[in-house]
Amino acid sequence: MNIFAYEIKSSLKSALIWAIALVAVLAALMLGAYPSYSDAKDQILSLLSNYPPEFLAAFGMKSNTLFSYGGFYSFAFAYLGLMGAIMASSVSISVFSREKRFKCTDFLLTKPVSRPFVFFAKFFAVLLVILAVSAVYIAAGIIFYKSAADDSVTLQRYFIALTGFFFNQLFFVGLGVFYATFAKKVRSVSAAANAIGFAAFITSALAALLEDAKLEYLAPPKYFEPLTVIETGSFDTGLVAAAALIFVLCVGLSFYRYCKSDTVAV
Amino acid sequence: MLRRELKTGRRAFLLWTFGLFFIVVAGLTKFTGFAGNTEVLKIFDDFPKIVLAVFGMVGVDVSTLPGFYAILAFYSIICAVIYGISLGANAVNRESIDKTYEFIFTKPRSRFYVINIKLLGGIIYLTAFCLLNLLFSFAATALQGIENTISEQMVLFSVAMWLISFLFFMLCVFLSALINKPEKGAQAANAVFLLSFLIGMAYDILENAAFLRYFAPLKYFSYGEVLSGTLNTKFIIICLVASFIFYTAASLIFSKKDLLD
Repeated sequence: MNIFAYEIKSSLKSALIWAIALVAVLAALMLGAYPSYSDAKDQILSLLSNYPPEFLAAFGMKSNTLFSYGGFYSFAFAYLGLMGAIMASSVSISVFSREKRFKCTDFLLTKPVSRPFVFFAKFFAVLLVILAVSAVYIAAGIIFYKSAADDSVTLQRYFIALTGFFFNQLFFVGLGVFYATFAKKVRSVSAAANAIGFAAFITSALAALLEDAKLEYLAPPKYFEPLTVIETGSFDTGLVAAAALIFVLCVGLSFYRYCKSDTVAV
Repeated sequence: MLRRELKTGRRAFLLWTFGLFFIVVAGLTKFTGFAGNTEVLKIFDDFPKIVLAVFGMVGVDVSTLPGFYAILAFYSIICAVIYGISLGANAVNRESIDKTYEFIFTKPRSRFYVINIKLLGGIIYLTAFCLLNLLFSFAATALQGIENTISEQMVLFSVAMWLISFLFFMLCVFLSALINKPEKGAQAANAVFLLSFLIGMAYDILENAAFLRYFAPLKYFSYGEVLSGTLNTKFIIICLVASFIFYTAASLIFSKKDLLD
């Protein structure tokens, strides 16, 4: 319990800052920017009405979806998912590499607790932090939905789309734990977290740019793409399965490694 | 000593180069050259910025090679900036984090000399990274058999990449020197980058937000300007001057800094 409480305590301040930043960006986009976006809709549609429908199709513009509240959230999620990914990686790397960074692994392991216990204490601490931040995010998302949404997307679907934020974070916890337990040295938590987050952002942007469905399997933020939920009511099964598999593998291998690895005494 | 610095950074450099290779080469080989219809694209000029941003069309037509390359270049630049930040953090803080600084600073060399050698190592890697970006771009287009009509612009994008990542490199060096706890410096620099990235997004979606551009180095050299063959002189100067100020301040602080944790 001590380890759990300690890890929660040390993540508290950054989690609070992240929660505020996430809600601020969500508000700026969904409350601030969305109204002007939806105002532009009529103007665009009248411009486009001079063109044949094949034209729209050629540009991949499903104007109905894209101009809706859900479509705009999908755009916003590219950025919010990136922030969530960086946050989740940084919390998990920070927690799991703490003893490595301060060169005190041997100290922790002299305590009368088993290694699996330490691992799970840390893991559940990270989980709780992520869960709390995601809950704030989802609550904020619903409040903003009530005040600004059009009727193009039902609350139920929008809610599922919002939970994608949590699952996305959960996935990055898996990657972060994996990195922290397998890296020989963790010099900077923020550098690693930023690199992981932006790498994922770039691959998912590339997947969208190249319109390559296979590339989406390499692009974590696409696993829980809001647009899929808004259009079909659920996430893409294949992508979710891939995410779950990678997550279980990462955490499982990390657990094994954490319990078995030799510890360097300093 | 420089040789040692370069040796410690080799593995990270290879990893980052691999990432860059993925973006540039995988990206360009995927480019099939959709038939660009410039006439149709004119109507986009009338669209509000926010709509274009959502559609992912900020000032370029991705169906042509220049536009497509511009988007790839944007991602490569993000890559370079994050790499630059980690190089900057390592130059200043690696010895403190590894707890070897007591050893290096007993050598008969001034602090100023030591930090400059370390910065030089970082700059060499960063420059090599930008040159490789150029090399990959040329190689990928050649391999693909795409007629390379934009070699001049590719050079400009690499220069822009260097300027922006160098700015963040120096910013991180400055923050790392300024802030006493080793990890906090890098954290601050990474936070600044994320913030400037989000400001860049705001700049893209807001109509009257020209002033935001000063806070978003990623937007200093816009696609349109680079593709028409110029880099914005004002922003080149801002990059260089700001980098120089960060460098001077960092050197001064580092020479006097208390290195105890």
